[in-house]
Amino acid sequence: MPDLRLYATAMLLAAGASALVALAGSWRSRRHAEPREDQHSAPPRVVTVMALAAGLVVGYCVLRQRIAWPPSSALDRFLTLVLPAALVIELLAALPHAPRWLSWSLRGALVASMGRILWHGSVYVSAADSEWTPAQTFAALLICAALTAALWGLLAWLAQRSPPGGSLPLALSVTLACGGAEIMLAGYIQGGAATLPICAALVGVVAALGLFAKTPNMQAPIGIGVVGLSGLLFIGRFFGGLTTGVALVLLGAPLLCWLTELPWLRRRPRWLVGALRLALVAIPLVILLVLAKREFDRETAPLLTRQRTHGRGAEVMSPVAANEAFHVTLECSPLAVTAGQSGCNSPSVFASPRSAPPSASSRRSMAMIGSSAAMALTTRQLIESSGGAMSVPSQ
Amino acid sequence: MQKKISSLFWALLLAAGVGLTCRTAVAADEYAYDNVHSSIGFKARHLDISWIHGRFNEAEGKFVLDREHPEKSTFELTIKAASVDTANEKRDEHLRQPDYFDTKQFPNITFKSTRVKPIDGGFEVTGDFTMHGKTNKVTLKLIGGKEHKFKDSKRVAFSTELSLKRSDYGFDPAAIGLIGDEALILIDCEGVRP
Repeated sequence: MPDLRLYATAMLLAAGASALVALAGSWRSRRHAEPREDQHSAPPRVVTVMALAAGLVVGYCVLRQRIAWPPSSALDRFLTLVLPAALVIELLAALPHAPRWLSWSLRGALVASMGRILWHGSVYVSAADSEWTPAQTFAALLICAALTAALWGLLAWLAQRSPPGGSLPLALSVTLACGGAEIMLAGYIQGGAATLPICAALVGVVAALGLFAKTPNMQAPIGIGVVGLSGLLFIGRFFGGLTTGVALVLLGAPLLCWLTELPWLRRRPRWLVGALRLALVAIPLVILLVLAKREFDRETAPLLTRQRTHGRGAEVMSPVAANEAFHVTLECSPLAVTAGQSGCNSPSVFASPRSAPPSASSRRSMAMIGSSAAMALTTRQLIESSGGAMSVPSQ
Repeated sequence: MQKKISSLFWALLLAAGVGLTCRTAVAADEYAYDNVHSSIGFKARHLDISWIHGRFNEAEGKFVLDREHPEKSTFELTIKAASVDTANEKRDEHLRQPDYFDTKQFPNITFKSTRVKPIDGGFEVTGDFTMHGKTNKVTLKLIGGKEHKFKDSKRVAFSTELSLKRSDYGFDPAAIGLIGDEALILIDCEGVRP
């Protein structure tokens, strides 16, 4: 089950770690800068990559993300091979005097090989259990690589064309968060949760760089964001339950930032352009999330609740409501006394179930007795005793 | 005369050898797993108060039974993890995902025997059980083994139960929560030999 508190903690700490490293690096570089240099000059790009790496490490540690070595699942390979490779490539690209052609060649190689790495040993490429022909596999890999390369190239181009700022990494961060939620709602909880540290690290770095630099270089956050987004959407689509349409919309959503390059939008103030970009990206994401939540409520949520049907109407009781109903039933039902006389060795169950937390064994006894008592009561009695916690069935 | 006796002796020895070889070949019978008359079910704890039952609808395998030298018998079974069926399509889809069986990455659940010992009423079979990419040694008690001729084919059947912990097979502990760690696999399989 998704642990929202854990996710929030992981995101906060990941963003904090990224921001701290970025701030420390920026402060240090300013101290060593020549007095004549611009006080708002960007910190070294290496600092940005280190800050992202720190955020990712902290985030995944807090999430208690289990990583198998040698990596056996696609998510293991993403976290142990693909993401570190992206960080190393961005680190090399951030080195002073690093040739531009070299960094883009390495990025291209990563994009080209990412799909094959993630598919390794799966039914898509395994000779014995292959679902696809080699031609189909090649075509799918080619299309995925082309889409990722297009997204990366277009965002990097936009970052160069437009006034510098954090709107592009933030747009990727928002898309990653929505992608994570979509993957979770489609049934792959760990895969969805894996997007959160990337999303938080991007936010942390952008926030920290925004404080210090007027012209921060956002190539590294864009690179990590693109690799994170495309890699996890790939896993969600081919290993989880994410549909092709949803994956494509999520992958293409950050490209809506290009709309701010329209002539009548381009010369607007920088903050307005940034806000517009985020709003434009958020529109399809919100629609997707609403649709996914509706489908989840219709198809999957009933699996997590207790469903009982009476006559024409049906009522659904959540586990919490059911537990409450059990407690109330035990307190007010004469059957509880009967059950107590019939050899139950846990008298504390009948004293006051809510006054003290029962032990594991007494909880089990309580559940067994409660279920027999609840079955003996009519639906109407249950509803009344639970204080209207359940809906009244239509007769 | 002596030459004739020698020839006869060698002929008899050859015949005995051939006969013995044939007998050995007959003693080890190979049976194919009959998917129609077999069943692989499982049950796992739900909220630690009840059991969820399910089954795997597709499997294949073979077993070689050597009646005279039971320790030479072998058993192999491959279960298609994607054929999981708990009578709820949405739940089955969820079980196929990486939080549970990860059927795109680990399509098969396999058992391959490494040691067979005859016991009263069947065999005690030790072997490698691989699920979710992890292999552990398990020992099964296969009860049965009685042969039955039906029309033109010979059939033999075994039943066994296997209790295992999902955490031993690399399943994500976070996904174990509602569904208990312990699971019971119930196998009733029938082998057929033409």
